[in-house]
Amino acid sequence: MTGKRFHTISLLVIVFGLLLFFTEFSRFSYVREITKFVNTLIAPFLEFKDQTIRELQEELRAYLHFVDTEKENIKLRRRLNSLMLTEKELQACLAELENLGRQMNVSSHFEKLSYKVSRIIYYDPSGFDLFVVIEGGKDKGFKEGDLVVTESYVVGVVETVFTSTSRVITPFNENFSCTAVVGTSLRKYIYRGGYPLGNLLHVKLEDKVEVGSEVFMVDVRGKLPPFLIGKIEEVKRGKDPFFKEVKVKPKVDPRSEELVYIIRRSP
Amino acid sequence: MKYGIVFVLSFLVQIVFLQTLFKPGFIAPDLLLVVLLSKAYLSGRGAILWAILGGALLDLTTDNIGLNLALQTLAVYLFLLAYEKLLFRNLFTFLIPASVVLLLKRLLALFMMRSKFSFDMSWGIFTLAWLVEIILLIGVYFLYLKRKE
Repeated sequence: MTGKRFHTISLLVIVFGLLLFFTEFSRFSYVREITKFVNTLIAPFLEFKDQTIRELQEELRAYLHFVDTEKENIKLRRRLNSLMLTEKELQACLAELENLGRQMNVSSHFEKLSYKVSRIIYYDPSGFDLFVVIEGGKDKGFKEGDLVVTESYVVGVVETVFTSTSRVITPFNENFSCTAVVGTSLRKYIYRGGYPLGNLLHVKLEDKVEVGSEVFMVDVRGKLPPFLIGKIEEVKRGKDPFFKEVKVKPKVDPRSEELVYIIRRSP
Repeated sequence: MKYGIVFVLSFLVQIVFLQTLFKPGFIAPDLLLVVLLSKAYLSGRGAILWAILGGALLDLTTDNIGLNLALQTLAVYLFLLAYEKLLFRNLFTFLIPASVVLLLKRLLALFMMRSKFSFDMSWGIFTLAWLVEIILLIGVYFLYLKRKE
């Protein structure tokens, strides 16, 4: 392109463009038709772009979801491995316990308990909670010596059975006595009730019995699981030269209980 | 022929992708003008016809006929005037005049549109689009122009 032609064309086009812009040439109806036609030609590309962007967004969202799921899977797999390990350890412990139980002649498999649920209907009016009266007596087949418990601790023992009620003496009552162990020790003692503290009898001087240890009622025949009586409150040298004097604070608070289980000792 | 394909592709990318990505659309990086400036760098004055064609095509996709026609032609014209005065060719003899005419084109487009419409515009995005154009210029120079010189 020669110099003069180049400058002339360029400047003319620039001026023409500016003229078109400032005169708002695009507002003429026939120009609008042309631009509409060009836009129709471009429309498929715009649709393609929109579709591509939408698909990409979906893919990205799916990828992110997949990554999150993958991370979650890794966490869960680790947790599962840890739980499987714990399960193995637990099984080993149970096997060990079973083995120990066989060696020491103690069974951890208790017989199916025969029990009934009853309601406490009367408390000791003296305030010492030495007994409670429960619903059900001879009509329900309750017998003297039946054990009365909550889910985990001893409420008392059926002392007298009436026609439709029963009198239950609590671990605060001096007439209450049962076989007991301290913590996981296998040595058996006698628990005798008392208010406000019961006594653990025949605890030898060399026996390791500490304040705060839990005292459980056990069934000498091994048919019942152990139930908590209370905690040791005091350990001291008593008048007896061979035994310690051990005071136990019973766990039961009869006034806070409403429903109890009556476990039939002999069917 | 080869340049024609590149020209059409740039035009489509410009209107389908870049002008919809930036608001208002005229501040988007002008890929077509970068391609036109590259053509001007290689073939000289003949590129002004491509610039007229590109400007006219861009105008037909908008409601502001004349804006791109005038500014694309002016940018390529000024670039050619500046470039013909230079005695040697390297990255800077391409990059500096091209960047300047691209900035000038953007500013003129802005002033022309402001004279007719009122709109909000971020100067940050305006500058970013210009920087993208400079990066495109550098990319085109090293990937294509340097080999063709």
